[in-house]
Amino acid sequence: MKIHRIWTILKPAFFAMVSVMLGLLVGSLLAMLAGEDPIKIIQVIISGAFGTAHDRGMVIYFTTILIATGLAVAIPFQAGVFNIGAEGQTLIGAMSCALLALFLPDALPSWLAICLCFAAAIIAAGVWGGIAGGIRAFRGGHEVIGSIMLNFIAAGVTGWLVVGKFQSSDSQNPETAMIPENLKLARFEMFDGAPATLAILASLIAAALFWVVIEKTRAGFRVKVVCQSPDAAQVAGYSVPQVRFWAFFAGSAACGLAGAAMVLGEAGRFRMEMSEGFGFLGIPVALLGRGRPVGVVLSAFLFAALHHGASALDIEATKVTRDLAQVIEAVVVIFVVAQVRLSHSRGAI
Amino acid sequence: MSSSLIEFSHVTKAYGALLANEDLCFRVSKGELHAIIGENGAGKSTSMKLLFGLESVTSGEIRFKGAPKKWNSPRGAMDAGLGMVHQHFMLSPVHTALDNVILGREFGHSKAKATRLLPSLGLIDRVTIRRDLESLSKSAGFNIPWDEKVENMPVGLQQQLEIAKLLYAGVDVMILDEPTAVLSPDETETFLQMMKNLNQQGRTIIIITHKLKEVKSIADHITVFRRGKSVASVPKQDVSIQDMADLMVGRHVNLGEIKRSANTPGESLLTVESLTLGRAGTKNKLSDISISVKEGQIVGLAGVEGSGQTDLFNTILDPRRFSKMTDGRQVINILGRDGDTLTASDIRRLPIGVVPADRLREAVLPDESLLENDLLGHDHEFASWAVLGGQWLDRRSAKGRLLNELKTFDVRPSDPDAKLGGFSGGNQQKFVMARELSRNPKLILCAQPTRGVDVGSIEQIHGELIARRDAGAGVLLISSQLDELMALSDIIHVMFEGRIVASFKRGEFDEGKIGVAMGGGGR
Repeated sequence: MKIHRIWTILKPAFFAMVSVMLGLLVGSLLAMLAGEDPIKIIQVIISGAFGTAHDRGMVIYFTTILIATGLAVAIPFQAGVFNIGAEGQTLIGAMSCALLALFLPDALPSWLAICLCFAAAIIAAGVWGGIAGGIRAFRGGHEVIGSIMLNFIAAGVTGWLVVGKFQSSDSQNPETAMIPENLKLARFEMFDGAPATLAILASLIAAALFWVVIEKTRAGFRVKVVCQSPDAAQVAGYSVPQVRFWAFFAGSAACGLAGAAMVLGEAGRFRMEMSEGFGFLGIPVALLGRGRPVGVVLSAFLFAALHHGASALDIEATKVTRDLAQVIEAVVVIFVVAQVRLSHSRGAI
Repeated sequence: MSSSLIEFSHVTKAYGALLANEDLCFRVSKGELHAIIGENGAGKSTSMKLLFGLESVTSGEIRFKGAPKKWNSPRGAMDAGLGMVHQHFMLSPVHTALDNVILGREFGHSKAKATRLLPSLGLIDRVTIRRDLESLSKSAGFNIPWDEKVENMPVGLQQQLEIAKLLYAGVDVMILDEPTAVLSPDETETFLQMMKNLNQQGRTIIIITHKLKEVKSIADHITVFRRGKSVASVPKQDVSIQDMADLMVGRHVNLGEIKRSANTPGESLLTVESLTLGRAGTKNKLSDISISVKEGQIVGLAGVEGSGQTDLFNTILDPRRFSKMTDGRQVINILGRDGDTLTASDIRRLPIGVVPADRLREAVLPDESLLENDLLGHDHEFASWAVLGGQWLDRRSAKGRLLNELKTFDVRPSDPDAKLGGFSGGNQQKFVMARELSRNPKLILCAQPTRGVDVGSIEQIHGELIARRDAGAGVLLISSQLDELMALSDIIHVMFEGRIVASFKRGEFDEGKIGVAMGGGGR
């Protein structure tokens, strides 16, 4: 009995590990077909991710962002809705953060201004995602269509703003002016200038909050019921549309953390398309993490390491590039998805 | 001595450690009307799936015409002349009755393909198929409208269509799984007569059921299942209904009436007046419904499934939402509150116990523990940390309360961490009753309280409802089992097509009259 319970907890982690191993195996086999030494490829990725202090700092920075975008997918998933709009939500969050940072009065204390910038990013991202969530929850329009369309609109709107009205006067690029120096988050010194900042703490707190809400609160209980059986939720007196909407809103809001980390922690300004696909990468992060808070944090770290480590392939390997990382990520996700199917069909018998 | 057509010889079917069938031994003779009876989960359906080739035998042997059966798929079973009507019909609702018969055998019998022109060209010969079906209808006594879409046909006719499909396929052994579960008393009568006819024409028929009266009226031979085993297989005349019930459960069951106190109904707990529900341009789901439930009263709603009982139930559960779909004339009063202002969440905070009809879909979360299921609809009772708006869920005190509840209502196993889906139907339902009734509700909304529940638990659940009534609670009871309604109710309203077409007081209950009203007659 006891062993059985421990196994039910460890099983998802075990299967996730197997998926990752299989992903690496397929990736290195492909590298071998391309004429590379598979062992060397793995070594390059690992040393690329953790070799220097700067590398380790970059991994922390990417982890910060991927926890946020992973939560953006995982939280709505708990209520049975699928948010694939993290990319757009991150852009809107980042844009709002940068604009507020540029226009806040200098007299404000830095800590307060930074908090306000974070809040602006979170609320704006939440509202943006809330559009798709609301259409799904209250009107029945599919959230996948809604959120993916909003991605295009977000890219368009933020791009238009930085090409025209808010473009920096001393830059040829589509980006805003630099935000005041006192609003930039301090980088940890030990990482040799890499943008690892206290934003990682914000992401971890968000993940912890997610756990507490789901496991310990009435709101979390309702989310669970709505996910498992909307009919039972209805009879129990829970409003299915409201639960779905707020889960979608909360998930989208997490993207604000990613946007703020990019603007305040790394770039110091908003740049066109600065989300760079990290919103989409949130989907495999959430899938590999099984939508669970701890899982999301661990898989965000793994994807961050893979993402940054693979960039070393451009220099160190001759026959493959960093794109191999995408292949590995995709293979990992396919294995994860295949296991979900497997466990469902087992449960049905 | 008649030769045995089908013989189960020490048949066991295991799903992992679970034995769905164990050492089954019985014979079905040719030309026999054979009933298989047993409680839910006794392994009746599994045994027929084994016979039909949907599942494979773990050990033992099924013999057909004296030799071990050769097929391992439904297709093989059908080629051997067996046919099965499943509990849930396998019909395409958007196609006509005729096309549903054609589906899967587009070119008629295989011999027709060679000799007739249209099939040999790969075309569907509807005219010939239709002629064949009409002559078949005549001999079997069907009255199927061949050009009607299935979705517009009443359930009774849909069932005839399923049987017609088998006959058209040339089946001579018919297996029917719970065929009368969805039929009104009238339809049941017609159906039983039809089975007798088909049987007299020489077909062997196996019926799975738990309705003992029907068994007694038509079967030649009865096999009783209990916990996966065949505990008796006897000619009909050797057993009484009481014997069958006792054999099914394994102990003496009280089929008699439950004692109730002779109280007079008190104040009104629930009143619904002139409720009409529907959207413009469609048929009304409910028309001009007026009912009331008073203290110390059980009000039964009879009717064939889909006559509006569920719509009425759902409206009472979420009156404000449904008030948008009414004509505005209705007056709903629930425990002294104006119904039109109450949301679903408000309703669940009143002292109302709710037992919905579809247990696994509406009443519980099968994948969750008993504890989580106990919180369903009652999480507000365990709210703590007022600073957070009472959002914190105090599972510890919920667990303490649940342990008491399980003990009082004899739910087994009484382990708060056990997954609900692993419980038997009877214990699941006892758990739902425990959750709703242990809060001492004034008003109990209860639909199909004993569906899929074993005879022993039915006794307990009925006793509990009567006890609540005697103690002054009001109960609105929806059931498709007329016996249950007549045993429990003080008043029975009969619904048909969204209306109340007849009402009977206790003492005036007449199975025949209620049955006629359920079928829409006697208005």
